[in-house]
Amino acid sequence: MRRRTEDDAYAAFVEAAWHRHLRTATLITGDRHRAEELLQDCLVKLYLRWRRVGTDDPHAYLRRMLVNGNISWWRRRRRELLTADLPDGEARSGLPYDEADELQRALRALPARQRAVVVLRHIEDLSEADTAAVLGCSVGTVKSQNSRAMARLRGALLANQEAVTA
Amino acid sequence: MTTDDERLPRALRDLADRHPGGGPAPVAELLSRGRRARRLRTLTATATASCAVAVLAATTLVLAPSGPAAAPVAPSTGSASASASSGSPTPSPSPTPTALTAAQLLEMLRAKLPPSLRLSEPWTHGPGPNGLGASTGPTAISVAAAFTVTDGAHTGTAEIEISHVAPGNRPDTCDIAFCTVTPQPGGGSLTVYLPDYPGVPQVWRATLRRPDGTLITASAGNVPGAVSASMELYPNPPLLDGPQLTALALDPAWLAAATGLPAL
Repeated sequence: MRRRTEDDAYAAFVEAAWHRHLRTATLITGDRHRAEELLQDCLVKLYLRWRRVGTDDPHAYLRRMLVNGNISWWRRRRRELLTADLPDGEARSGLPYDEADELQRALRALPARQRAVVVLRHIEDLSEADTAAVLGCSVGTVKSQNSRAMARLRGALLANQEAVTA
Repeated sequence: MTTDDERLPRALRDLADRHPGGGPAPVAELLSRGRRARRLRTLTATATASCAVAVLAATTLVLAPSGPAAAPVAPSTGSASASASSGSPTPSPSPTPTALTAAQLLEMLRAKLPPSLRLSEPWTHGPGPNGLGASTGPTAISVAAAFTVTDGAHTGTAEIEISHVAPGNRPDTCDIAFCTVTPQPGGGSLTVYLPDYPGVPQVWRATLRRPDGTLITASAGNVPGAVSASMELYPNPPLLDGPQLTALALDPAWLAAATGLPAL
């Protein structure tokens, strides 16, 4: 009976959390399919630990698994990503300027940790302290990573906009 | 803050809104995967627990007449003061053992693991101020402690779990691959399960089932621990092998710890 109750609670959590965390995972990973894979893997692990974390804050726990899981994966695959997925840094001449596309490309070009900071701070709307807790670092590190990341995003958008309007 | 500074966070939120949630959450698939993973993890413990109860019942019937419980009982007419004045105190009932906390078990495990392993990320399960939650259920009550362990090149987990098995379970045998059962002197058995399936969750276990219903399980795995930030399986096999796990499970130190567990 208790197992069934736990499964029901877990199922309800997945229903409620899926879309929200899939959006976050997509932005963190930069790839929808990878995001679904990552989210599913994390949710299976969460199931195994549900009794321990289900009554606490499973959203925070899941968020932490997503971020750290992606950082681990990104470290292993960095070389492939750098050669296969990153933008070439030039504007797409002849195409209408799409700021969202460029922003996504710039976001994907960030190191995984900076990307996580940007997503947690500006899309998940976490405080600097909460972001630091998720990433397991200091608030100062969050601030510096956020500052660098935003500068790079701003620079990428500006450069692209200038190239398009030139 | 400049207009550009405000524009970028807004653009990021707009970007997030461009990612629709897609289809429904695959709840059934996730539940199925989760249950499969849980079964894999607990396969040996469940089989051993079921087996233990039946053998315990049989063993108790055979051993009870010659055990401590068969000692002569003081005459009911004797008073406490008479016993005290006789100078030959009668054996008093054993005091109720103090419940072992998970934190104490953690320290015991720390002392038992090979010194060549570096220990980190301790976690516990069971009674005690540091336990993550009581582990009681219809079949067993248990206390457990574990570490993430590394030998410098490889990483894994090591765990000790002490359980009392509830009566009434069905007898079972360990008739699965990579699993052996060895009868122990004085009753009980040792079940060793060393599944060799690379690339999947891999937890090696040695479980001592004692005639008194105590289960002592030493395990080592490649699944990151409950408090680990890692979510990838460690690529190497568990860092404790069968003989090491067997020695750990057979260590008599756990027996004292087991007496502190509450009865079912």
